[in-house]
Amino acid sequence: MQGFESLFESVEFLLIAGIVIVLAYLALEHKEIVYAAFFFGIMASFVAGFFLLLEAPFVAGMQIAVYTGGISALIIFGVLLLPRAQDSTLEAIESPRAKKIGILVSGSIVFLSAILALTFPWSEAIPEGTIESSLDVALLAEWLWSDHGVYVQIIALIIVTSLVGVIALMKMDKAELMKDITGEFGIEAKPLPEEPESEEAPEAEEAAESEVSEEVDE
Amino acid sequence: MIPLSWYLAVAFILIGLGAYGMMVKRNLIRILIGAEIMGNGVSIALAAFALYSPVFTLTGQALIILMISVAAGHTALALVLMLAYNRRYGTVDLGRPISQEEKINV
Amino acid sequence: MLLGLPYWLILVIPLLGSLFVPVAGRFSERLRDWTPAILMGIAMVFCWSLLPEIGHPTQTTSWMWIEVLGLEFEVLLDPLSVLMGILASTLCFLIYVYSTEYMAHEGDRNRFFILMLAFGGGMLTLVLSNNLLIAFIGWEIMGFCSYGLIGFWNDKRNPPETDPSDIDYKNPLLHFRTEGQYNTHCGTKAFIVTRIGDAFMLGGILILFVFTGTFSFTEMAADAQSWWSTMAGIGMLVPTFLLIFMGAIGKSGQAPLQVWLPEAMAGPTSVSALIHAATMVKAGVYITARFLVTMASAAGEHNGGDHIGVLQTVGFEAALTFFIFVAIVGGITALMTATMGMVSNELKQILAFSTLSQLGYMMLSLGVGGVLQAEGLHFTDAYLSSVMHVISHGAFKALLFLASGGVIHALHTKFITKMGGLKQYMRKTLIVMWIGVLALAGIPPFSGFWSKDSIIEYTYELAAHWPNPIGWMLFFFAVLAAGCTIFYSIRLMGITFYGPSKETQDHHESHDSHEEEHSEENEEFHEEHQEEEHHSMPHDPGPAMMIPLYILAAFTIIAFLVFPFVQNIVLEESHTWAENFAHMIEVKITYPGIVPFGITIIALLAGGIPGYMMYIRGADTPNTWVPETGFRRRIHNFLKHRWYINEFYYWILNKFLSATERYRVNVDNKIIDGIDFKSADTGKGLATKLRWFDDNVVDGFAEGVSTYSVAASESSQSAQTGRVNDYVGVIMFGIGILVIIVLLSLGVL
Repeated sequence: MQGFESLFESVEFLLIAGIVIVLAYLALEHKEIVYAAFFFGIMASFVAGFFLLLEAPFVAGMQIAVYTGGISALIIFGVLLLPRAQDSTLEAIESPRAKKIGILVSGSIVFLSAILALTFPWSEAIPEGTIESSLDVALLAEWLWSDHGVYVQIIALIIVTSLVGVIALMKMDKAELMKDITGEFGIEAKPLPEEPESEEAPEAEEAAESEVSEEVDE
Repeated sequence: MIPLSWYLAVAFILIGLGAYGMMVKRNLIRILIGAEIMGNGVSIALAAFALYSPVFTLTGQALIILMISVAAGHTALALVLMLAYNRRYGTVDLGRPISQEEKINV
Repeated sequence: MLLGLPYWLILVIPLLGSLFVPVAGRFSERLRDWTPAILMGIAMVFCWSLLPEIGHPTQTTSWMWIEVLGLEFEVLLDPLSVLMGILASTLCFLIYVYSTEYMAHEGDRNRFFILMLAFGGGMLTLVLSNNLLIAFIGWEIMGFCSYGLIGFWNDKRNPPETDPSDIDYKNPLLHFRTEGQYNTHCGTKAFIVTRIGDAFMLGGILILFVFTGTFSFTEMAADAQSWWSTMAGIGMLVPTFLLIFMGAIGKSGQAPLQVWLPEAMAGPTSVSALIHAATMVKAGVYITARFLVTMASAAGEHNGGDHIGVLQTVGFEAALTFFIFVAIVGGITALMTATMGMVSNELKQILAFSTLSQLGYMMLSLGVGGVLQAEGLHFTDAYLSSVMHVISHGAFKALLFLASGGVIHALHTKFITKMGGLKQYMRKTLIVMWIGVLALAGIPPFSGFWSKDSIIEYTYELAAHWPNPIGWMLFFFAVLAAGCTIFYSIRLMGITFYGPSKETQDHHESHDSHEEEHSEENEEFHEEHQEEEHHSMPHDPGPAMMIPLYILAAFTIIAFLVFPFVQNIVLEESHTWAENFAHMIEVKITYPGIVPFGITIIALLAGGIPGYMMYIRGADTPNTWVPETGFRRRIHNFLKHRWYINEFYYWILNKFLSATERYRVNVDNKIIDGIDFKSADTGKGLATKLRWFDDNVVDGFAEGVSTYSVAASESSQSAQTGRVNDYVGVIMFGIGILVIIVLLSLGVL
């Protein structure tokens, strides 16, 4: 019976791991960005399966609520708001060399870390002791809200700050947003390029910037 | 019981995939997805440690909760930054050529 | 207090309220002008409501102020302080009301009204505080405000007004190019002279604190037995009290520091009235009276109500010496300044001299009271007459100043020689001015008579009972001063209001000389009145200026009905009004009171009849009593030069200044500056040498560093691609290296 349960657990694990990794790969490599976003959302839901396996049902619930429900929805919104993001020419890799370097670096990190994870003497590093009941949400709430309430407050501050930043960025007038920071301590105002798409900088811009460039060049 | 190393291996694979996406992709939204995948990998590693280390149980779970909260906030911020980028440069392509002036000023 | 409000509101309202004057000015000019009057009116109502609470306050009277120092702010509610508070707040209120019209066409009224209100607040702080140190703070607030107010017109560009009969001072310090300069000089002079007294006073307060260990008047009185004998034992008592009295001398303008008060007339008339009637000069009298009361109550408490005791046994000599000094200073001041007033030609300056003279009377009375007490006689009556004189003088002097302010306002000159024949134009002003002048001269039944005559009476009593001949000298001074007073009072009225009307041509003359100064004002007057007569016809001022005058005049006339109440309050007696009133009359007409009364009447006649003959009946004929040369002219000159005291100070100052100038030219310029210049030259030479090193080595090094760092940063610029992908790659690379290090340390690789 014990053996069967453990086997079943292993099968579960391998299944979920395979699905998650495949989905993550698809989320990164699928040609259509909308599909990629959906794959990411599904992947986040399957990560919740890991949390269930790891006896953290509350976290799993949160993972589904926030990642699947919130963040992937946000990303899809972003895709809708940025029609240019759906341009599939963006998916072409700049140069095979860059892709090779990327695969090499990330692959070697995965490889090295896997060696580390497998060879690290976990039994010595982890102190012996009875495992607290990780299923008890009341204990978790106590840890979060009463014993270490200050962390929650700090996180709340960070989120509030980021949301204020979001609102400020969204409310900014277009013209104002285009300008660089100005003022006597900042850099000089940079005139808006007439055609944002055109990459060649207008002549006027250069003239306005010549002062600054000189300064920096010196 | 599944060994801790397996979970960590999955976590590292996710982190590696995310890093690969962030390193190679040009599309800003793809880069954001890569970042979120890395975050998920870290969450799995934390959850595994939370279960396998008796003193770390609650702390690990709480950290994941906080991480998820912050992820929601930073995703919103990242999207708005993308909108601003799009407004300014008219594209969400990171691979566009960058002029010398821009390098100096930004 | 009224409505159960805390006592400190009385002082806090005017002091803090002064800061709100400019705020009110933001809303409305008119509201700003009335703000001091309104706030002081509130404080006045509060002061009056203290009357039933004398001696038994209904609320807490002390608040912790600075806890570290144990310094408490405590309100003192005894007859003296409450009466002074009522007097000060009421007169301030009337003067502020008057100022709203008087200053209506002046510029910069923010400054004026801030200082005026703070002035009143300072006086209330002084009189109501039970703490010598806080009283001193109020004292200094007044000093500062008086400085600012006397020199208020500090920016007048016209040359100062002169009088043909004025003496020509040789001292260069007394020559002024513009009137603004003169006004500033007067303000500074008042500040410096009073500051001399204040410096002594602060020293006295600190010495007293060393011995008593407290600043509180009541604690001082309760503890008198110990510190009094200690101080008297080592001979510190008289010096300490004299130091404190120096402050009173400076503030109240007693001899020899009386010089600032006649000059203090440079400010607007309402300021003069405020200084003379209500606040500043009364502060000195108040402090002296406060010490008399403190000593007396100390003596009384320890001897079961008998006012003889401690002073006699322990500090008899010391107290006697101190009070003799006070009395002599008062007597000399009373006579000296009265004689100066007899020849002055400036309208407000005559009144200033009369103020000095009356202050001398008050000091004399306090001194006499102290001596009487030390001698074992009752001191209370002399003290009472001093307080009464403070009250009556406050009223009639405010009346005189405000009325003369109306005259000056109408004529634009301050010299009585340029006035004359005003009686048909300014009827109402003439009447109230006569009332004030008669009260000043001490003619019955006006208020001045009751108070001043009783001062003379108690001086006589002292002289009669005291073997020391100083008593007779003081009595002689007092009587002589009374004679002089009536003479200059009648002279003032005669020259100003009677005689030929010099007004037409003189007024135009003076008007021309004031063209610049008053042009704006006159334009506004035109707009307001729309009458041509204003130029040629002086007229009575408007209601805001006249109503305070009527109130003060009414008080001056009916004062004898009020004084019995005052007597009950001051002496804390319970006689009926009728008893007091009968006693007041009875003292004058029965033996021994009739003797000084008779002598005073003779003195008044001796002064009044010549004055009447010369200046009212003979007003139309030129005055030839003082010839061009001879003895009379010399006396006249002596008085005109104010006994040369003022000029003596200036002479010393001038000598000092020229000595320092000589020092500067001979020593400073040649030796010290020579050393300076030589060392500077040497330093310059050295610096030139150093500069080469600086330019080539130090700067070269710095420039080299910056040049190379710029080059280095430019060469490494290409690594900064500005792309997220590359940065993430670098980060991941770093993480990989970290993992490799961990693996190496584990011995795996």
